Amino acid sequence: MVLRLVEPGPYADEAEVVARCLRGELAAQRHLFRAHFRHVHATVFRILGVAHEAEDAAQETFVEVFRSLWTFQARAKISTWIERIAVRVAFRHLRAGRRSDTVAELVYEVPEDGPTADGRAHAREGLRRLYQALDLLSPSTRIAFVLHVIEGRSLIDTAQLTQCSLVATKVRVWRARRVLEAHAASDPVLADFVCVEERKAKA
Amino acid sequence: MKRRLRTRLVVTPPPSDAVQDRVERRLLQAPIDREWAAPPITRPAGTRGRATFTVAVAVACAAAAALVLALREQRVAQTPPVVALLDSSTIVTGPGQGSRVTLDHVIVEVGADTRAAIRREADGGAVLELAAGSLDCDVSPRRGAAPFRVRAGAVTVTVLGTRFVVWRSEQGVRVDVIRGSVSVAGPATQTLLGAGQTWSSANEAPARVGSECDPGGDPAVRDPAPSAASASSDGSLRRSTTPLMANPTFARAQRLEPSAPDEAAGLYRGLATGRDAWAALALYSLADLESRRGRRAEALDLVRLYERRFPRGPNAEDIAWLRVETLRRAGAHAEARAAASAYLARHATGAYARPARRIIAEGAVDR
Repeated sequence: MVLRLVEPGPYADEAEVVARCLRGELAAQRHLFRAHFRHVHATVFRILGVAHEAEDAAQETFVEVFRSLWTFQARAKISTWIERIAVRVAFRHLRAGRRSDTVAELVYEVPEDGPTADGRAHAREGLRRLYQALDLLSPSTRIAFVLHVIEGRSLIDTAQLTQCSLVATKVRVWRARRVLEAHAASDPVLADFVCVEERKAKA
Repeated sequence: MKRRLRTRLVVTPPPSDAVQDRVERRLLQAPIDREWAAPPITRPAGTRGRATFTVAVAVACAAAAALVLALREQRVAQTPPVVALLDSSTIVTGPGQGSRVTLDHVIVEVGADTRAAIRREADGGAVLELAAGSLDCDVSPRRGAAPFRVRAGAVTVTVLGTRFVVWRSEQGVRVDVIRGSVSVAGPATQTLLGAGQTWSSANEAPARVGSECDPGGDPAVRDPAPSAASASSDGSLRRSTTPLMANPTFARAQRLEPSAPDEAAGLYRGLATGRDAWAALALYSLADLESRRGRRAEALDLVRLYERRFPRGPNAEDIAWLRVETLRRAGAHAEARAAASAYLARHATGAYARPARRIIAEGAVDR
């Protein structure tokens, strides 16, 4: 793991960073960018599943952040505000169909703590098939599923980020699960990756 | 033993350090190679208070300046200071380098070894003045927004919602239209190009950014006298030798779309009665306008009319997709899926192939 230091900067709080960004201070803009880029990139990568698209989406997110910063209201945390923009940008990418058809461009990282190289390759293939299955979902369903199941956010957070109701979020996650389970039933590689075996409780 | 979906799935993104460095350089940092840095940006009088920062940013990062300028133009009324500083800029890339900028909802892929400047016209439209190299512009339909133009010496390409590439080298200027239509204008002539068509000129030498790249162009450059594209009786576009002059009616209709859609529709209807490429474009624009206004039946009639009159017109692909969109907006999902299948059958690698496949796939999931 590589740790990167975020320049601390002489800022008292987020509000000051925002104010300085709005005054055009490059150092403050850089501070804001560095503090949030990795998180934004990880989120859009998990939603889109393709490395170069994630880079584009992350860049678009910060373009939008700096463009819309004057609309930011200090009632919310800026990280939440930026995340919401990132989700919106990822949604636009999915909806606009700007995505690449080239499977070879898929780049996934599987944790290196697996038992064997074969195991890691198997997991990587499972991950690829997961994203193939996710391609069949509508953008909103896919985003809700990724944020809740892959990013591990709560349903309430997911609903806030996607700006829809809690009930709608639950339905979307459930619908995505149903599609994935249907796929996993006929795809053992995908099933190994996304399913666990459930023992029946003994009477 | 029963299998159920895991509660949590682990997807670890690739390391983002290199990505972060790249994006930061594009957005905020100075280019590494100072040789390709842009000249200082000049600002209008009355904003001297920010002069130091403006010059520093312009010298430091030309591509970032173009991005920030683009952002400023979209928020003219309430411009944040960070973007208000920059009123014009230049884009310079070195050999083997490329860049990507956005300007007025236009995604511009700047090719290697390219020099271009951004200007703002009196009508509010943005102009990219290409001194040398190539610009690949993907433009969303203007829909009443300010026009977007690329100028290469004496040649001006006005965008009508499309994707095109403009090249400028010692051999001259070349325009390749990938999707939709563009209008290519010399000092006295104008040509409408459709998808798949190419226009080229010669005898233009590369100019230096900021000096010879002015809107007027070099008077020594002769008019390339492009030939016009017009619609033939079978609906396909063919070149004619008569230059197609500028069409102020179409431009007016585009401007009127947001404020007076009825009037704009009337102008489009008038233009659509002709047989030339403007008629095809006006008919497409009218169908699109009616679809967005919620007049689905009229829009579908116009789509059918376009397909009958201009089966291989410049917007044939767009009109096929407009049918899908209109049906979806009308809630006719089964018909929309059928239209998406028809679209894919004709344009399997088209610009809308991906969403078309998704629509079809969504239908399969719903069933």
